[in-house]
Amino acid sequence: MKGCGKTVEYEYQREVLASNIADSLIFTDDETQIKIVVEIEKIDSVLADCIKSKIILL
Amino acid sequence: MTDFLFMDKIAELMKEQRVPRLLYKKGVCAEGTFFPYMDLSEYTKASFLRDIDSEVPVTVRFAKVFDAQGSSDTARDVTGMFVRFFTDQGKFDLISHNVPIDEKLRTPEKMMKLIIAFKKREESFNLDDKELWKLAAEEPVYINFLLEYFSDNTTVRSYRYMRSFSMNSYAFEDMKGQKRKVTFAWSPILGRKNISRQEAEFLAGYDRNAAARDLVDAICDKRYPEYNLEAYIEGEEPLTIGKVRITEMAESCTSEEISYTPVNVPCGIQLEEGEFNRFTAFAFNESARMRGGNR
Repeated sequence: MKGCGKTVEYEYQREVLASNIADSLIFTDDETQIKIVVEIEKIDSVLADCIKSKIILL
Repeated sequence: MTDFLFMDKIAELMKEQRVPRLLYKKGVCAEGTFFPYMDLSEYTKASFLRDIDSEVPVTVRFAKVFDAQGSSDTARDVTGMFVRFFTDQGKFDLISHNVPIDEKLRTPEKMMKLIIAFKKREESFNLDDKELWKLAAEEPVYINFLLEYFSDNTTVRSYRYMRSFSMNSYAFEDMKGQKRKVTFAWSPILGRKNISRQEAEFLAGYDRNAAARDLVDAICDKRYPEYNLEAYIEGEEPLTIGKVRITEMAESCTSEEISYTPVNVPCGIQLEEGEFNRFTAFAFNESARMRGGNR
């Protein structure tokens, strides 16, 4: 079950990362926020969804 | 004021105030020893990497890249680890950061934009969020760096658990003059550990010098921090080539005089050709010159 543990840890890290980015994005304007999330989506769509759920404006 | 001797004394006193660093302002310096694990004669003629019995004195400075003096150690920021090896063939300054610099960012223009975006505004000492995110939105090449920046890797509670990656790329030169590209990384023997944003926020209020204190306490208790030096030689498996053991804190006045610069390389190790390396060499050298520091 080693792999399972790693997945859980990765999910947790992604959640933390999404919160940190979302908190910081709140200070920018709507247009920039959308652009950023779109760019992150290209790298990691789950992370982008995570960030979206934390930014009420999106 | 006609007492010129007195005026000279005032002038001397004024000169004691060093020009502050533009970056890496808040730091702590320690001393220790480097122990090589293996003979690297096959790759380099650097004597300290060919004699496994050699013990090389080092100074190590941990410093936050963008934050000012007096800021909290746990506030989100990239942390630098500067190691100066005093080898018998000259000084070797290995500059590394706990966030790796993406290959795509290794151009002077990209790096300058990044530094300007992360530099704190003078009027508020805060990041200009809009400028920072605008940069990421318009130039997605910075996204990977930002993902690292907003991860827990940049909230450092203890330098003893911090991994760092060399800023520059080098070339090992062997006895025959053959060169091979190499980059380095420091890996803490205790393993890598970071703290959450919530813990970082608490510590920022509770003990703003938490990481420096942790280092001092560990050294006083003889729990000497150790880091393996990993070498990534082109075309080879990664090698763990030696370790640094930090055994004492440096005198603050001496350590602040040191200006680390990528041009300090011993025989057998060269800065690799390239714009980024030339840019960092100039920038660090210029900073050293302005500060009048010991290069």
